[in-house]
Amino acid sequence: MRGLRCSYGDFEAVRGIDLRAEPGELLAVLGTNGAGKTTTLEVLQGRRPADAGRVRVLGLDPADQRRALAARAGVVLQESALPDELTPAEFLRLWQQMAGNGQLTHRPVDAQLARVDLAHRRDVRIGQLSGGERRRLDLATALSADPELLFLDEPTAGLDPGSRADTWTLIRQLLHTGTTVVLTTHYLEEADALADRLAIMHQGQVVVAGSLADVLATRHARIRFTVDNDTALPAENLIGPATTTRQRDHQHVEVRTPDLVHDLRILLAWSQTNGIDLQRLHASEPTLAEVFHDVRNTTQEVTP
Amino acid sequence: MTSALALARAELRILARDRVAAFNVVIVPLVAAAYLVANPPTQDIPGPLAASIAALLLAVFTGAALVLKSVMALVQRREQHLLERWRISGAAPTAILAGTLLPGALLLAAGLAVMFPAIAIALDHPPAQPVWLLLAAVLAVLSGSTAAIVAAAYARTTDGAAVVALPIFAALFGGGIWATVVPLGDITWRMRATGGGALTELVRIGWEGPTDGTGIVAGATAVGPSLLALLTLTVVLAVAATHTFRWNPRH
Repeated sequence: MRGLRCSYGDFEAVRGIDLRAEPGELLAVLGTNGAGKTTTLEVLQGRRPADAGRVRVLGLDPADQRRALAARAGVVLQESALPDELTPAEFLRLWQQMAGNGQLTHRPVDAQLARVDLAHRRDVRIGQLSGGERRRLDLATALSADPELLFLDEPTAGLDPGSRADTWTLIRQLLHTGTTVVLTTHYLEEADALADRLAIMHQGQVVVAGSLADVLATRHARIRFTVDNDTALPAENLIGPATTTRQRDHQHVEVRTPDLVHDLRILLAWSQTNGIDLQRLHASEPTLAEVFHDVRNTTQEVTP
Repeated sequence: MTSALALARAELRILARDRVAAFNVVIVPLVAAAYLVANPPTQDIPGPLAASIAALLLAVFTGAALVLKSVMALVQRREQHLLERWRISGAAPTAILAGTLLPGALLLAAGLAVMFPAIAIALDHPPAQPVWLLLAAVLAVLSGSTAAIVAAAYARTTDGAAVVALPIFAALFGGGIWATVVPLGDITWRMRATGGGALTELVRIGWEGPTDGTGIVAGATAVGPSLLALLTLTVVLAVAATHTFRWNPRH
């Protein structure tokens, strides 16, 4: 996808973004609310046309070849779109008849339900399923014909930790068998655990993109500690830049460093040599959450 | 075709599981028909009355069983994101719409299949050329379904569905009454333009027979203006539907 632009009236929801997912990898699209993630997915799935830009999915133009794409791509919508009055078994049978106009080979309904641990609920009205069970039925529907590409729009929203872990396991199995996955999620740990590459959107633009390692490499590690107010910190050329917040009788110090281990060694040696007690010492590599919060607070573009 | 029939079957199953709706759909027409047969009007019935009752019933059934039911179904399925769901299945848009609307059409057909014979029996006045009644029913389905698709674009919630269906109901019923209070030969293009007027004219020709001549050729000539009006109306509504219909509540 190159230069995608989409508008709702005068509001431009997506403002010229580039995205690419390689076969067999999971691309996580993260972003603040209203960042343009769902609109982007709608274009990729052929559910709405692009106002500008070039979009190809599995080599197909989703706007013009929506039906051909539907035969090869599964979709879990953000909203759990299910008829309350039907049972999971009835709904999956209906889906099989709808999808590909009956031309696709689908897994047997009971196997589909068992795959997402819903076999015991096959004949219960969907309206009586829990939110998590509905989400799993969404997933079973998307996987019905073993798609080459899977779009997952917040697939674990509303799931309990156990069900979320099961879903992650299923996604990993799909990746292992070569399925390409495009995932949007608000759970950063989900992207951290599953994504080969990620893109963070903000206000209709991709602000950060690349592999997880690439993205994290754009941020420095962090060392925090507390020392007495009259303590002189190590020379600036020995460790990364430090910021201090002074309170009555102590100061909180935060050091940002590209080399966490090096700076930590310097600090520990300095404290030992000078007999300084490093209270509340905390050292951490950069996290996705930090990157995300930086994106929210600044809209500066970071090269992947 | 497979998709449309599968979806229509599912919609009928959903309807059958809604006890109130199922009661309204099945029991009410049967009770009305039974009442009509058991209590026929006692006055000396002239021929046109049977036609007028049949025409107004067609207008009411088209408005309630077809248009209102169809607008509600489309809006509800859009609110539930099921229209989006069916779109990503790869099913053709026409198949999705046909599958969603087919139950309404079947309800209309079933209602007429009960009520028209009941009218004929109760008033002891069978239709002169029943083929035009069949044509009226088919055109009621086509024009009513298309109108429902247009109306559904303007309702954001299921509650709003009744509001947007009201003008269609008014055109059907008002136009129907308008075209029953004049002699058959005096029905004007204005009356036909309401949709209800044209349907009424078809029913009256089917029940009373054409005013000029008695054969089927005379009937075919007589139904021409109504047929033209309803087909034109359907095409105009279909063009409007392609520009206004929304699959996604966000759009």
